[in-house]
Amino acid sequence: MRVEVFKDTDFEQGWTDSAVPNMSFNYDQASIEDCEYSDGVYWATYEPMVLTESHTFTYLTPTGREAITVPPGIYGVKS
Amino acid sequence: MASISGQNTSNIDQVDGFFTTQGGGATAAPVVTNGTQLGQVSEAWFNTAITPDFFRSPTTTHKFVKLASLHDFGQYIGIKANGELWYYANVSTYAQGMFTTLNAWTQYGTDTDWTDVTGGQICWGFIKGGNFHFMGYGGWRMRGDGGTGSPIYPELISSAETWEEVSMSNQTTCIRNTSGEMFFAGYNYDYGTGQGTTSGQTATFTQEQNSLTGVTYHTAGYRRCIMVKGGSIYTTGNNQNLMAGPLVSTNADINGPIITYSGTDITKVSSFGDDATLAITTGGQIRFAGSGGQSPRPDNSTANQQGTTGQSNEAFSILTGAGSGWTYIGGGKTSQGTNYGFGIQNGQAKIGGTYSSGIGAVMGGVATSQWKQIGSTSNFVALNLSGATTDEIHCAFSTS
Repeated sequence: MRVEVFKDTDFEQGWTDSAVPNMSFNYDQASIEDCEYSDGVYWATYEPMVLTESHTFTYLTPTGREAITVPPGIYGVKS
Repeated sequence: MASISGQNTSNIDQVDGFFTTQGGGATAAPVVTNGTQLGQVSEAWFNTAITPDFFRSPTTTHKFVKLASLHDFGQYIGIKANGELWYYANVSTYAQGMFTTLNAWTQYGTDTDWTDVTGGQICWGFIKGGNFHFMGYGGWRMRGDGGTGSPIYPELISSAETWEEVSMSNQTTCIRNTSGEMFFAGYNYDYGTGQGTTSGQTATFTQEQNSLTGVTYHTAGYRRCIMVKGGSIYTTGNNQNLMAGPLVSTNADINGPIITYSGTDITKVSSFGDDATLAITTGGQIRFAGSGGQSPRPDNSTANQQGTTGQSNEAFSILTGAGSGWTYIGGGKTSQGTNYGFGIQNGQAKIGGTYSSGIGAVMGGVATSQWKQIGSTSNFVALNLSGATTDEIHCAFSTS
């Protein structure tokens, strides 16, 4: 996917999706200098998570294991 | 004549923390026989007071049972048999809270319950008292707690499980608990974290999707993890050089972990970068799978073993020419794509691979990509190599 980014975009921080709390997402580019520039706009790309069937993740919290079953869908879409 | 710490500059080797140029094995002083020695090729991290390309440290009497080093800097961490944690660093980058003394082996704290240490890409992982600690750059999501902070000392991250062993590659952390269950953090490239996806990052430690138990050994490689369970090998992630084993016939990324070698004789396994897999059998021999072009084979053949029968000259057949007596095997990949390996055979330190030539010369060995012995003694118990760019590699050797 392609998304507009700006000179103050934090490329290190990335973003999360509450539906998959054990995952994070980030741009394919490390800085705005790596991004495509056209018509006065910088464009970054990223790959969302595509689940074609439900998937169970067992991840750790400070107090122990947490299991979630995530239904099919596209996750990590940059809002 | 100029002097430093009471030594004139012609005797600079005698000053603790200073290193000399060592460009060739023929003129080099003997490698360590009773203690620990470090080496490095290229750049001046070891000693900013001089700028040669090759460094070899004086021998210290400190001895370690585990050694780790970073891909990026002249920084080393070792664990002694009594569980003490020690370090040697020329620079404190990303670890200013731990590396408070430079250019000398120094103990960190007084605790004696450190059991494992591994070096990643400008970050470190530790097991201490069954808990996981992290130090260094956190932006790769290799911390495993969802954070991106970069602690400058070993920070407690996870005590939710009783951890046994941790291994890091450039952008993943693979950690195993005492039940032999595997958890992962970091980039999901090529299914390398075992989550069934290649996008995004696993930000908090998440169990691999097939819930293996009973894993007894594992190692992180370039976008992959190799695990030993019941003497068989399980793999998830990159398989571009058909190095996963004879049960996989294509070089597509492996959406695992799945069993990739069904024999029952494997005790330890190593990733020779993204070229090959090396494994030690119960008989102390070496099994090999993958591409042979970068000299991963300790028998010094450069032939590939990528077939699917597992028989002679196919993936994971034994390298009889490599002999027996192997007790440790390791390997890695520089950031520029050259691969290297290292191991201990009958107590002798051995290194090999494309970028081991220069470091071989630094440590008094032969300047060749083929596997070669470092030092002349048979009492080595720990060694480590780590590569950064194609022009830089670090090594550490410790005897009993």
